[in-house]
Amino acid sequence: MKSRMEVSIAGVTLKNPVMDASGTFGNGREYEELIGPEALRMLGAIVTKGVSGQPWEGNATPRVAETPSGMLNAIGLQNPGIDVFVRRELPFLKEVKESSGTRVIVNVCGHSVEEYLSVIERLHDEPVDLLEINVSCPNVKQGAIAFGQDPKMLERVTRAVKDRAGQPVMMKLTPNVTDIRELARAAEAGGADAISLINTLTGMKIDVHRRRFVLANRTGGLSGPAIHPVAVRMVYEAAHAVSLPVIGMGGIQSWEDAVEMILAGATAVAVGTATFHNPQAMQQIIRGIEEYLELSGVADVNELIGAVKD
Amino acid sequence: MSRTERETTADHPQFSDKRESTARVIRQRQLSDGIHELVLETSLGASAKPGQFVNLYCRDSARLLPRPISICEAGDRELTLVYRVVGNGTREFAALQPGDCLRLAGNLGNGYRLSAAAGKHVVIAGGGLGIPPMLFLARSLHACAGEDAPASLTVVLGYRDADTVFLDRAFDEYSKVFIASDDGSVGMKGTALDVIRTQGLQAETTYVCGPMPMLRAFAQDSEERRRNGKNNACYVSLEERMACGIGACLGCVVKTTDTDSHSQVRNARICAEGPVFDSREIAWGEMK
Ligand SMILES: Cc1cc2nc3c(=O)[nH]c(=O)nc-3n(C[C@H](O)[C@H](O)[C@H](O)COP(=O)(O)OP(=O)(O)OC[C@H]3O[C@@H](n4cnc5c(N)ncnc54)[C@H](O)[C@@H]3O)c2cc1C
Ligand SMILES: Cc1cc2nc3c(=O)[nH]c(=O)nc-3n(C[C@H](O)[C@H](O)[C@H](O)COP(=O)(O)O)c2cc1C
Ligand code: FES
Repeated sequence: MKSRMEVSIAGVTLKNPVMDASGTFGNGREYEELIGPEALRMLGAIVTKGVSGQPWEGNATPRVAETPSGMLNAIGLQNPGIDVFVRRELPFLKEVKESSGTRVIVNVCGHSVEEYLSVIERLHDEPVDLLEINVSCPNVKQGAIAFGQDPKMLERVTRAVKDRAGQPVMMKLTPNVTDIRELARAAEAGGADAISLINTLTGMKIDVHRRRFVLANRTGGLSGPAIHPVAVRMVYEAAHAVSLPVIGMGGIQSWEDAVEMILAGATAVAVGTATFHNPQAMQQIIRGIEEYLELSGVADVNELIGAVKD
Repeated sequence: MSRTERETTADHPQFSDKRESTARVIRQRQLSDGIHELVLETSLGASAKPGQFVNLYCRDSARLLPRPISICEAGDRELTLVYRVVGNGTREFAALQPGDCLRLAGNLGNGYRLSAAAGKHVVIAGGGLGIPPMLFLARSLHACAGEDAPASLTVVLGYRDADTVFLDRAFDEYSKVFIASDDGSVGMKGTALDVIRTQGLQAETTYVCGPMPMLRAFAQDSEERRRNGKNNACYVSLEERMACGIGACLGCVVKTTDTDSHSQVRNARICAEGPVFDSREIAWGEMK
C-alpha cells in the first residue's frame, strides 16, 4: 500500500517529502555520526554538497557568520571534485539507498557549461536518482554573473544539461533576481524535470567595532528562519508559473514551516540551516507532518500541494 | 607528517562517540571577571579526550549556531567548561542555574596527541582563554606512566594582566607552573614563549592553545629549533567560526601546507581534522 507520505518528483518516488538542503549536511556520512544510522535513513532523500569537475578551494575564512534568526555563508562551494566524490562518497550513499530506500540527489556546480557536463556525464551509471543543478555559481566566461540570474543563460544551461544527463534534472534557482517566475519558466523551457528553490539571498555584515567586513568574501548567502517568508512567496510564485514539481526550501525549521511550503506549491521540502541548530530537525519534521496528516484527516500528503486558499 | 597519516574521526566513524544530548547543570561559578566555570552532568565526560570541544546550543533559537567550547575537565559523568562572556550566547549560558538543562553535541574534534609526549621534555603553553583545555591535557599527561610518560612536564600560562588571572593554581598538582603577563603585573613580564627562553626550559614537544599571535610564535620557534637540528614537535589548537562543528559545512577551514586528503585542496576542517594540528601542517604565511 502506498504510504500517505509518499511523493513523486519527475518519476522518482520519495518515501516522504523531506530532504536536506545541499551544503548543510555534508554527504550524509558526517551527520550519521551525530544522529545515528536510523535517523539518517528516515530521510526521503539525501542531497549532497555541491560537486564540481575539479576540486574547488572555496573562499578565505571567516566563511560563516550568525545573523538574527539566520546566518551568512560564503563557503565558496569548496569540494573535492567529481572523481573523489564518486570514489569516496557515493558508495556510502549507495548503501543508504539500498538499505532504506532513501533517494540520492547529487547537487552539481560548475564555472562553465562544460564543467557541469563533465560532472553529470561521470554520474551516468552511478546509483543517483536525481541531479540538482546549482545555477548560483558565477559563469567565469561571462563576467561572473550567475548562470541562474539571466533567463537566456539559464535556459541554455538547462538544455545542455538535460541533453546529456543520465537522471532527471532539477534546476536550483537563485532568489537574487527581480522576477523568479521568469527564471522558473526559463528552466521549464530548457526542459527541466523539476525546480528547487530558494538558494541563499545575498547579504553583507559589517563589524562596527573593527569597521571591517565580517566575512572574508565581504558578501555571503543568507539562510535560516529569517528568509522563510521570502522563500514561501517565491515557491508560491514559481509553482504557479510552471507545471513542474517544486522542491521548496528556505528557513524551514519545523513541520509547520514544511507544511506551509507544501501548501504554497512545493511537492517536497529541503531543510538546511535548521540542522545546525537542531541536528534532528528533519526527523522531527517528518514525524510532525505525519501527525498533522493523521490529526487533520488528510489521506495523502499530495492533497496539500498548492492547497492554500484565499 | 602528511594528512593521510592522520586519523580523523570522520574517516573512522567506528572510533567516534559524537552525539547530541541534554546535560544538566551541576554548578556554575565565576572564576574572575567575566570568566565562568560551568560543570555539566553528562555521560560525554567518560569518552572525552583533552583538546576536544563541545557545541553548546542556545535556548533562544534566534541564535542559530552552536557555540564551540573546549573541554576543560572531564569525569565519568561530568564535563567542566570554562568560558568568557563575550556576546549574547555566552551571556545566556552565564545565567544557567544548577538543575537547568542545556543541549549540546560532543565530543568534537581530534584532541591532543598524547603519544607525542612519550619520553619527551614537554611544555604545555596556554594563553588567556586557551588555558582551560590545557588543564585536562596536563592531568592526562601527568597520569601517563612507564614508556608513555613524558621525561618532564612544565606548564606555562600567559595572561594579559593580574586582573584576568584564572585557573592559575589548578595546574599545581600536575606540574611545575610558570606564569607570564603582558604587563608583568602577575608572574614574569612577557609572553609564554619569553618564559621558555629566559628559563631555558627544555621543550621537545610543546602543546599550545591561545590567541593567534601566540600560536604563530610557537610554531616559528619550533621551526627554528628543528632548523638548528633539535628534535621538536609543536601542536597547536586552532579556532575558527563554525556552523556544524562536525565536518559537514566546510565553514571552519584552515590553509594547510600540503593537500588535505579529505578536501583534496589545501584546506583542513578545524572541527574535524583539528582543532589540534602539528604546527608544520599549517600554512602560517597565508593566515591573517
Ligand atoms: C574549537 C573552539 C574552542 C573554543 N573554546 C573556548 C573556551 O574553552 N572558552 C571560551 O571562552 N571560548 C572558547 N571558544 C570561543 C567561543 O566559541 C566564543 O567565544 C563563543 O562562541 C561566543 O559566543 P557569543 O554568542 O557569546 O558571542 P557572539 O560574538 O555574539 O557570537 C556570534 C557568533 O560568532 C561566533 N563566535 C564568536 N566568537 C568566536 C570565537 N572566538 N571563535 C569561534 N566562534 C566565535 C559564535 O559562535 C556565534 O556563532 C572556542 C572556539 C572554538 C572554535
Ligand atoms: C553552509 C551552507 C552551504 C551551502 N552549500 C550549498 C551548495 O553547495 N549548493 C547549493 O545548491 N546550495 C548550497 N547552500 C544553500 C542551501 O542548500 C539552501 O538553498 C539555503 O541555505 C536555504 O535553505 P535553509 O534556509 O533551510 O538553509 C548552502 C547553504 C549553507 C548555509
Ligand atoms: S564547522 Fe562545519 S565543517 Fe567545521
